[in-house]
Amino acid sequence: MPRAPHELPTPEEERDLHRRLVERDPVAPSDLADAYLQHLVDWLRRKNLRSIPDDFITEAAGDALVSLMKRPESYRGDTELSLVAYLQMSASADLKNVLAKQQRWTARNISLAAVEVAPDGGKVLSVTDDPADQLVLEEDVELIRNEIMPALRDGLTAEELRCLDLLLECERSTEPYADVLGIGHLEIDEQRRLVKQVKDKLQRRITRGRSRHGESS
Amino acid sequence: MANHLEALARRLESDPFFVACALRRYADSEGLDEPRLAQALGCTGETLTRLRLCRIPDPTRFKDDVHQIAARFEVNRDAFAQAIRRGEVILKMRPDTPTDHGLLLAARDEDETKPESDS
Repeated sequence: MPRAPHELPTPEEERDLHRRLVERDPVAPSDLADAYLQHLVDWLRRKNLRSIPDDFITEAAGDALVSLMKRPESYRGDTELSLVAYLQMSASADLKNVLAKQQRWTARNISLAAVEVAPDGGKVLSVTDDPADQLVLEEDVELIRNEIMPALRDGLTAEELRCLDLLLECERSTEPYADVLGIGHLEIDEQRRLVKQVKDKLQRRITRGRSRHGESS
Repeated sequence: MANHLEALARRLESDPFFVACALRRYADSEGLDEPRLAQALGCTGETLTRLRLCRIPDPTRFKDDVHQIAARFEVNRDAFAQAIRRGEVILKMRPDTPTDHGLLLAARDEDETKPESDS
């Protein structure tokens, strides 16, 4: 099944390829990879943050193909869904798995300073509950640091600037902010209220800065 | 594209479902690097990558599967069949292979496999 680069199989070719996988044709897995691997890598790259490493993208695309090679019955050729659409969905799910795996690894390396006790129930919160958030956050921080920061700093006090730095370091606990703001002697609830006010102010500035950046880019 | 296929083939060297795994074991046992393995099979490096992505021949139709793969990729059929057989035997002899238990049991005398009686 030789084909030009980036040329996807026709619906008939898709059906034939799937049938061969089901019938345990030994060459079918190779043909499947040849037909779809590059497409899936390109598709995942377009649909996801550029900060996601290439290795993760390639691994997810490969995982989707290997799953189908081993369990071709997982795709039902009689549905409306084309094989390529099925593989794209599968690769997306596999990318989330790869990111989650990476996130679990990262979580083990997060310092205790980035963990705080929730004010209401005393529950310990990690930096993020969504595996993909950390990567999104990292990209946001880069964008803010390099392109939005200069406008952000205008008009902020020295204390607020230090708080902004803490925010960009992904610091979430109240104590460092309270220290910077010189309110460590107040009741903890009052500290949280004042820190929240500053964080909200900074967050509004970041949001405005991002909007302006989005309009200009 | 070739890089992605190559990376995938390399990943699958640890998965006995794929030809890549048996060829890796065979090449290691013979001290062959990839260019020399390709040479032994009578194909190019690019063809070798695609060959490694094939499903391992089914034991119940080994000859047919080998023939089909060899014909498709125009590799030396006898050399390919020998490499796969050798690679699979080496794989089964590895201590961490699940099938190893059966192989070891088969190598013992029947009496040795019987549980000791209380008497």
